[in-house]
Parts: sequence; structure tokens; C-alpha cells
Amino acid sequence: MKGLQRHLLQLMILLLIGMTLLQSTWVYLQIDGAHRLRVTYHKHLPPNCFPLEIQRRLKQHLIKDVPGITSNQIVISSFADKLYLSLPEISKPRSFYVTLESILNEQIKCLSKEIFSLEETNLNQYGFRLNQIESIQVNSPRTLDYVSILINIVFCLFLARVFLKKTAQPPK
Amino acid sequence: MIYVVGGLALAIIYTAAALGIAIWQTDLHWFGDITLACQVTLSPLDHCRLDTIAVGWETLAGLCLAALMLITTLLLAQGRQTVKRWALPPNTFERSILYRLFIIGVLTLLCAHFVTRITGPDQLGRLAMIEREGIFTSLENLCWPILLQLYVTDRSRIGRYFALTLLLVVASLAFFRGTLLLILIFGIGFYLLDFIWHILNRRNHWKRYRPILTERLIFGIVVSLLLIPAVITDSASRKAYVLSGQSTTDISSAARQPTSSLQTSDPNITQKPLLPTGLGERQIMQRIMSPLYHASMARKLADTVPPPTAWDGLARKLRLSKQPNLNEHLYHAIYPSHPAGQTTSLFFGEGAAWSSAPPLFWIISAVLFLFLLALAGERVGIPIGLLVGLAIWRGYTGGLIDILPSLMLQIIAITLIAKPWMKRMGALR
Repeated sequence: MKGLQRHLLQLMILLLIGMTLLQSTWVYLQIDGAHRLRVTYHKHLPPNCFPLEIQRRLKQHLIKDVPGITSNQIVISSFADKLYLSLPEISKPRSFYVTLESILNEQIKCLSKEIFSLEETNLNQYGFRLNQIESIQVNSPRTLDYVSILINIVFCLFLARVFLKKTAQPPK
Repeated sequence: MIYVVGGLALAIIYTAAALGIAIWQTDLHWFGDITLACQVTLSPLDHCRLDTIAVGWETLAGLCLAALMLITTLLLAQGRQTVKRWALPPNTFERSILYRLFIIGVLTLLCAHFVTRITGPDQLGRLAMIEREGIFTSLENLCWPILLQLYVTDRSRIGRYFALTLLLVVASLAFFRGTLLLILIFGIGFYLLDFIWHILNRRNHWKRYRPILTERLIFGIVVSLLLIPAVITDSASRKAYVLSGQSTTDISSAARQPTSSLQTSDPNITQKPLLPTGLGERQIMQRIMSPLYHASMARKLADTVPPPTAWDGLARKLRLSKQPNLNEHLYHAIYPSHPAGQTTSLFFGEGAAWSSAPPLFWIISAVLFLFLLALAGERVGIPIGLLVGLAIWRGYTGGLIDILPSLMLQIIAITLIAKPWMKRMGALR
């Protein structure tokens, strides 16, 4: 077996072992907290209204009200008829999010007046309503992690077999 | 293995192009579909673009690492190849009952699709036609890679050309330009490259191979002359359809004009006038960039909205469940009013949604898994290189779980067709 080939194979096997170990470590020892809080609000907004401004104000409010939280830790998304907030697990009572609901509703009313020029009678039909507060485990290993690690191990074994076969070959 | 390497090379080139355009196009207001995708995660457009560029780099790094492993392994494992090149025997067409059954099945399917097409109501829009003929399109999508694999593998001329003829019929009925382009790239381009590579390794037999190469070149040119104008005509007709304003249900219509300032991150941006020129270029750029934006959206959305599980995706693909799979879930997030559709969220989106490790790991693992599958096929003498190459490309765009059921069915079909011959050759014991 040629020297270069042997070194390349060794390098590949080491790379794969390293990748598998790194992935396993990553999966089990994540720095970010293992739990996050997911708060869901039902939303009903004027047609074509997308609450980027609300998001900005909401983030500002959360950062101001919850010490230790940063903008990057707050994820907000809008899916179907719901607004989702994902936050690091913080010890805020349910009443905090109910208050947040009323703040959101105030903001949407302001925006509806400013941007959409809606009449006061129409404003009442739009707004947010707190739906659910749940604690979710975000960084637990999932099926795909195990599948991925398994594939790496199988590929590594395959390379080791090639390596052993090559080293067993008599020199030409 | 040229098809496997080719599929991966295609994915790398595509990612590099998408990343290049994402870096170059700083103003996203002209890309309606992309703006909509950014709005789902409430990202201001500039943040969304920066996130997408990061996704592009990670995807490119994952694919390049996988390519490095794949090519090095191929070079190092040279000499242990056990597959017989041009694996199917010359007489498959005459002797294999399963092959004949498969061909009869494909012919029946194509006839049924053709009859449905010509008996359909006039003035039916493209999306309505896709919905009406959905079952035929799904079955044809399952069959044409097998036909392409037979075309590049079968040693008998009649078998090869029969497979090619059926492929052209499938192409003529297809709704998607992607099908035509993949037939061209894999069936003509990589096929010729594979043959040239084969000849280069046997220089002494040049005279023997020259007539075959000439014949294949001529066929390649003829098929390209048939398919390339079809792709161009289809693109032109779609552009005219969008410009005419009839395409109110076509997602690409969102690209006709910039989004309202209310929907963008910057409320001070005023609505720009619609540019009649450059629509085609913008649509092409948007089409190339979209998968990266979808992948970025998948990652952000997974942090807040629980995505469908991998099992949901598998069950959906096997028609065992009506729950949306990951790509349908993302599509619904972008276009809530559209009844059906799928995004292309890449291996990255799949990794982001279903894995707690960075998606880079899943990108590498997914490619290695498909590569191992091709190696296993080669080891037992089943010619599945092209199927796996296509799966790498299709999986790259839609995710591995998305293509796994169809790939398994295709491998089973090829195995059954090749089985009588494999027994004779002693590959199966």
C-alpha cells in the first residue's frame, strides 16, 4: 500500500471519528439551556398587515422587562393564525404574558389607526389572545441525531475495512 | 459512480450560484416570494438576507466536505469494485418478465395520462391541471428515474432506445422543467461523460468504442434538440402568463411587483414602480435563491412552531397520512391561502428542523448515507448509481426523508428487473 494512500485513509478515518465525536458532544453538552418557553397567541389582524413593528416593540418591551435576556434569544414567528414567541426559560408568572397580550393589543390598535386608518368600530375585531404557555425541551437529542451518528460510524467502519484490506495487500 | 459524484457536483454548483446571488442582491424588495418567506419569521429583510448567507456558507461547507470524503474514498477504494459495468444483460428486453411487466405498466400509465390530458376541460390553468393530473405526475416521477437508469445501463440497443422513447413521452407530459433538465443532465451529459471515462481507461480499445461513442453523441444531440427548446418554450409561456396578469394563483405572480412598504422591514420605503424589464432575470434569480431562504426560514421557524416529524414526512410520502410534511408545512407558512405546494428547504432545513446539532452534520451524513447505498448496490451488482445520483440532487433540494420512500421503491424495482441476471452471474446467493 502506498504511503500517501495510507495517510489519506488515516486522515479520513480520523476526520470521521472527530466529526462523530464532535456531533455527539454537541448533542449532549449544549451550552444553551435545555428548556425554552414557548408562548402562543391567537392573532387576528387587518388584511396584509404584518406586525414587524409589533415585533420590534415586543422585543424592546421584553428586553426592558426581563433582565438578562438579549435580543438574539427572543425568536418570534407568525404561522397561520398564531404568533409564536420562543424565549429562554424565565421565571415569569402567567400574568406577565397576559399583560403582554394587552400590550400587543394596544400596539395593534395604534398601528391600525396610524397605517391602515381604520375606524374605531373596526378596531375591536383585531388583536391577540393568549393561547398557550409551555416549557419545551429544545436541545434534547432527536432521532436524526442518532441516525446521523450511526451513518458516520458505518462509514468509518467501511473506511477502516478498506484500510485493513489495503495494508494486508502484499507490496507490488 | 460518476452519477453520484455528478449529483453532488450539481448540488455544490447550485449552492454556490444561490449564495453568490444572495450576496450580490442586496435589495430584496423585488423578490416577492422571498420577501414573503422572510415575513414568516418576522425578519427584517437585511437580517433575513444575512441569515440566508450564513445558511448558504454552511450548506456549501457541508457539501464540499462530503464531496471530499466521497472522492477520496472512491480513489482509495479503487480496485475493490465488484459491479459489472453495463450490468444488465443484452437480452433483458426479450427475457425478463418483470422488465416487460414494468414497461407495460409505464405504457398504461402514460396512455391514461394522455387520455386524461386530452379529455380535460379547455381553459384550465396550470395549477388546476397539476392538481387534476397529480396522481399521474407522481407515478411518472417514480418511474422516469428507473427508465433513465435502464437507459444508461441496458446493453441491448433496443432496450436502451425503448427506455429513451418512454422518457421522451414522460418529458412531453411533464409539468416541471426540472424533469426535462434532469433527463438532459443525467441521461445525456453524465452518460456521455461516463462512457468517455470508460474509454479513457481502456485506450487500447478506442477503435472498438468509437462507433458506439459516435452513436451516443448523435442521440445526445437529437434529444437535446428536442428537450432544450421545450424548456425555453415552457419558460417563455410562463413568463407571458405571469405578465398577462392571469396568474393570480401562481406563486410566481408575487414576484411581479415589489411588496408593499407595510410588509417590509423599513416603513419609510415607498412603493417602487413596476419594472417591465428584467422580470425573467428576477424570476430566475429568485428561483435559484429561494431554497436557501426556505432553509433559513425552516431553521428560524423550528425554534417557535413545532414542525411535522420525520415520521409524518415518511407517512405523507407513502400516502398513509394527510398530515403535511416539512416542506408542505413551510409552504403553508409562506402562502396560507394556497391549497397545496411544497418548498425546497434543502438538507439544511431538514437538519435544522429535526436535529439538535448544527445542520452541517446532517448535510454530510445524508450524502454519506446515499453514497453508502450506491456502494452497497455496486457491491451486490445492482446498477443504482444514477438513481442515487438523482436522489442526491433531489434530496439536496427537498430533504432526504422526502426522497427516501421513492428511492427505496425505485431500488426495489431495479433489483427485481436485474434479479434473474444477477442470479446467473452469481452476484446473489
